[in-house]
Amino acid sequence: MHNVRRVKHTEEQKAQRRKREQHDIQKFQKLNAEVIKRDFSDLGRVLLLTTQMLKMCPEHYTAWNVRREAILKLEEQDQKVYIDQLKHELEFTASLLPQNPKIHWIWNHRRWTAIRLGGGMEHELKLVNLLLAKDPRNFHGWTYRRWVLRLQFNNNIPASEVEKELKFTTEKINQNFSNYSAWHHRVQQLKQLPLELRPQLSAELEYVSQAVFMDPNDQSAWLYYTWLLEGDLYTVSTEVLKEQLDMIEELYSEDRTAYAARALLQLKSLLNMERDQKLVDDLIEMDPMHKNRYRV
Amino acid sequence: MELLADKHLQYVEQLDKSKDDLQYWLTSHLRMNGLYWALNTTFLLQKPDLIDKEKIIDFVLSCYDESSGGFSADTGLDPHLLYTLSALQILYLEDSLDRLPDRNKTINFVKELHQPDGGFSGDKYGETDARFVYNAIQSLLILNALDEVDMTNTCTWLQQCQNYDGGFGFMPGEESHGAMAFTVVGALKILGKLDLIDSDRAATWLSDRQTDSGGLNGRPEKLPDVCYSWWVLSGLAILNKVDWIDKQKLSNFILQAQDPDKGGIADRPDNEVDIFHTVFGLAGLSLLGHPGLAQVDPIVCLPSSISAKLYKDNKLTLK
Ligand SMILES: [Zn+2]
Repeated sequence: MHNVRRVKHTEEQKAQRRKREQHDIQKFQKLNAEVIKRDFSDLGRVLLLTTQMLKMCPEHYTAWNVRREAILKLEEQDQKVYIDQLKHELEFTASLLPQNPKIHWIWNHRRWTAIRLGGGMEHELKLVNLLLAKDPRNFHGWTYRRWVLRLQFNNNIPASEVEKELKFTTEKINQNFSNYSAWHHRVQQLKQLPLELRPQLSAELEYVSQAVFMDPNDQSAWLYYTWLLEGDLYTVSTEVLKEQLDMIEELYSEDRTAYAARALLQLKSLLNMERDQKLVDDLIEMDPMHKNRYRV
Repeated sequence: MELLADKHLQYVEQLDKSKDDLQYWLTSHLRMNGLYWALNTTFLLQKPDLIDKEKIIDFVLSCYDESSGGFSADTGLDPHLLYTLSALQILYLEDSLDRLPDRNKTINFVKELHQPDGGFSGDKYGETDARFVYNAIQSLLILNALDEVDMTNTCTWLQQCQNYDGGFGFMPGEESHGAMAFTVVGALKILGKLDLIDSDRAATWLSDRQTDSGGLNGRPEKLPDVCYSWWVLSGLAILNKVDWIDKQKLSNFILQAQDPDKGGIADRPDNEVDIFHTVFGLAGLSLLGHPGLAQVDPIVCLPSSISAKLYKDNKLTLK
């Protein structure tokens, strides 16, 4: 259970709630007993029962399994009915996800459906866009987005699509640069782009610097900045490192934050400069929770 | 706030008395996990006899699926790795692994979920993620059958879950998530391949999960949550870096999330408690060395006295 405030109920309130819930408990038990029977003599009925169960309890993973088995039996009987049912499954999961965006089983069922339907994935990206607009950090949504792209292009995503995704992350980051999920997605896209299409290192550094200067206490942009400097993807010249050192020193002189101090230590280490003990001491003072790490 | 051990035991005792609540039924997909969490809670609070042994074993066996060898979340539901591991943990905690109907069949259930790319899926319908890889590996450990599966590509798969930022995603290429520290680091530790990951970078990302309140969050710029006192801290403990965070501040955060009236621990102070956050809050406190709790093993989330036996069965030296 997450994000549920504690409220104290009187015994009377509890009794009232139990009375209210009796009907639903009976409904659940009845549906559960029917669903786990796996009686496939009437496929329409199985679909109806599992719909009722999953609307009531979308975590009922066995109901999802029974439903898929029924749909596969439809396929044996009538190809057109089967395809129509798969299209209906997209609507069904799309109706459940906005209220339950973190339930693995629903996403799982949607993947199963999307694989079987094949074809264009525009509707899938549309759904993800909708859910990421509601919660830009929903990692299920981001994971699904990457999965859909791999499926659509059979693991071989063309550069033009990767560039579109890169633009999408810019859009999301511009809305809120604290959105680390978007920064992560950006890293994944850059890694896929061939060298000649990759944005220049200077442009990326400039872009992330804006975020860092706007709020030097935000972890998201700093993580991206650190990654750029580590040279995982770009070769970072001594000249660039020195430029960055000057820039972060300027930032640090105006606004002394632990993240800026960490970046300075990283830059000095990358430049093979001596360990700045004064900076380490300041860092420990600013961020005492991590003092043992900084002392190493 | 001090540790309210007696209250937590009372909280555990009333858990199966809530069958009049709709919530009890809507969470039947967590029944088997919930029992493991409750039993582990009683072990951590050093009252392992609180839950009736025969009753809990009967329930576990009622969830056994004869055709596959796996276990389900509740009687009549389908088998899945998530519940198979909890069932095995319960049997092992109760020193009753010999009640397992067919050990080889259960080993096969796990084996058949091994994917060509090295991952494991949770059941025949599920996709692969690091939770299921961990489930499979600890299940095989309890079944003393780790050497029956070639884990070479699984080790590579787990290694690829580590990101450039040091954290671990649910799958290779996915955003780092605190919960995956326990699964990836724990699984690699059991397999003896911890050297495949960048430990310092991992410990840096993990210790950065501590927020000003003292609590740990699961991802950058998210709210702290008691359950990461297990998922994240266990990773740090396996890497021998628990002192990279402020232990006292984390202890205080967990203790403040206790419900002083009915017992149990919530995700955050003043929120509603549940058994999930109760057991992982207590396990976190145990890792922090809080007095009054049995020592917990960060690799398998079982009391260290029990895991010592487990490693001996497997002729493993993990410490
Ligand atoms: Zn939590």
